[in-house]
Amino acid sequence: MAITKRTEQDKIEMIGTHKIIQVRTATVIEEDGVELSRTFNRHTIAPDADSSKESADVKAMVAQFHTDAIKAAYTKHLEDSKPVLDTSEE
Amino acid sequence: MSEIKVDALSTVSGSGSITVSNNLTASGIVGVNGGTGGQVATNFSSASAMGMKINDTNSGNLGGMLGFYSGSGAGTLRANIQNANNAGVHFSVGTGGSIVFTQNGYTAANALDDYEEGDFTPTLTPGGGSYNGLTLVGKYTKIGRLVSVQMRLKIDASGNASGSATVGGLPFASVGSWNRMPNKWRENTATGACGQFVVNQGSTGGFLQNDDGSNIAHTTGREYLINAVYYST
Repeated sequence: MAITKRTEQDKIEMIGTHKIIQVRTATVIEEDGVELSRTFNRHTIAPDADSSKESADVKAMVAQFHTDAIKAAYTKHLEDSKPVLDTSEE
Repeated sequence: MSEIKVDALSTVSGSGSITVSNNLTASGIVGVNGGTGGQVATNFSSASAMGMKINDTNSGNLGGMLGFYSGSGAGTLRANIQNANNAGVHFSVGTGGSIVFTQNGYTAANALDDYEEGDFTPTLTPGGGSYNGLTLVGKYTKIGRLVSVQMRLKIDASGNASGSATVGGLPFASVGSWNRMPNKWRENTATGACGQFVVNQGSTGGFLQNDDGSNIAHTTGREYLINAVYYST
């Protein structure tokens, strides 16, 4: 009877006009190859994110979708989306 | 009416119909193939009877109780109903399926097509300087297009952080209609103060502010608990 634990990226999606990439990582617990449980951890890669530590599959999607034009548009979108900020604290 | 009783039957082929007034029992597989419209119809009138009974006599957890296939030949499994360790059933509608709350069939606005729960690691970035230590934890539940997140952002060492506070790393991209959709945070260790966490559409984060729009305090030991909902796909 062998209990094993492994992780896999079981869902990689590209979402919306800013081509945000969503990655779901599943942690799978198995007993003799039969799945006992599966839990999820998610992270997202926006066009301005550092993708150097991502998997090869994710890097491929970043290379395909996060073009310079998309990065520039996303940067402008973030600037335009900032709330009016008071510079003081509390 | 004449009656025929036999001890054994060989394979019988024919093009007629079989009508049985009482019970029809088969120890093997009953196959239905061909015909038009509904191929298996069950009619019953008693409130105490079931139209169809499926009994997993082997009591197997995750045993297949009902499978839904499509495609030529044996078909491909698209969805199923499994035994939930004899405590219920798991109804798996498939990655492209949904539960539709209409009488006549699928309409997108009435289809519950996604449910998921899990963890994520948010980010907290100051407008100026940097933190020397943070504890960042997040949990999410997604129901249809609605994403609910709970986050714990603790400043273990404030460093020289200053200015605004940007939260990133949300588990799903926000695709709502407007920027700056408000949610709430509570500082949970020193002040008990509450403020706003605004989520922007088309992004994976937002901003922490005090309710009056001023910047939050970047103080060592402050712990910001955030409860937020937003739309995704």
